Amino acid sequence: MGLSDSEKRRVIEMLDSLGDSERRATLASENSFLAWLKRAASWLWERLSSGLIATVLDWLWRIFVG
Amino acid sequence: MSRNQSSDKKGQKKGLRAKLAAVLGGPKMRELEDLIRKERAIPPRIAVMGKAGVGKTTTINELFNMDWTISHAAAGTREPRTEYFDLTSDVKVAVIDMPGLGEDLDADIKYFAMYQDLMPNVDVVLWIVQANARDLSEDQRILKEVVSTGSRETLKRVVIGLNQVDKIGPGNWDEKLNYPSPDQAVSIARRCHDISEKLAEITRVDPEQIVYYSARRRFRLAEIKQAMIHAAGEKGWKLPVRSSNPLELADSEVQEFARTLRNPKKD
Repeated sequence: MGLSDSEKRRVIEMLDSLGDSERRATLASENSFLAWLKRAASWLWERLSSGLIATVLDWLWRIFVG
Repeated sequence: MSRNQSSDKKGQKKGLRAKLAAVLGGPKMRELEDLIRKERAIPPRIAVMGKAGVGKTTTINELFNMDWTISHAAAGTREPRTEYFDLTSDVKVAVIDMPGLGEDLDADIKYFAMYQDLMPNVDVVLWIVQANARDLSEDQRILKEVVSTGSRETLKRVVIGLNQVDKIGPGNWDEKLNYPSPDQAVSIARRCHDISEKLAEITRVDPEQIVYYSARRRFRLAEIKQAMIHAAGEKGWKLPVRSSNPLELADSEVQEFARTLRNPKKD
């Protein structure tokens, strides 16, 4: 039977909304990880420049959490 | 995830680990890995609270994509019951199932004290309310008694979930899409906004920590998860972001269409 145009539009809207929500949840998780890491491994900040911290944080996130 | 994707991901992780080790040096890399591993081994503690029959078990199952069935057997439980779940090989979560409130006044007095004792000692308190209930005065009374007396730090850890919004009318749930119809979406947003305002005032919980959803329809699970991660503060990252997929409950045509959107065919 197939989906009508309005149903297709609603599926797209549903997927967009789902994707946005998951991105916001991931961001909340990343912020939480950063807060913990800043306290638990403060030496990491002393050792790295600010530009490198963002890269390292991204790597750590992808290795251990994401 | 397919076997190829999983193997790609493992390869990427290995590459990143090598890059990081090159930046930090071997000993510091090992120190960091050890630190993260030890922290991950401590499961975040989630207390699930609310009246009997509000959907505590379904909520936990759908949020963490698991199959927990003990709660019904424990319906008459008089003590908090802690269960540890392995979500993945290195991620665990501790769920504390609390006795249901609102069934017996004498028992409630005892349970209130039990709830208040436990709340400061967990990472997240997930308090579930049935959003479609006609009368929420009892929920309000219980929440006022238990939650509003908590310290500011305790209140930060509280998430109030308004469950079963799929039963709110006017308007019907669209079974084909597994999504509220446009009419129902308006009804849900309006009713839940009213409930949230009332509960935020009564409990002093941040309105952003009051989230509507439907566990059995897997609707807005990411929103609940986001609120829980935020509430858990520095422990939030240990909660897995991904929940059960709502599309799995939609009609097969909808699933197929969603697949074509995600993986468009190349000519």
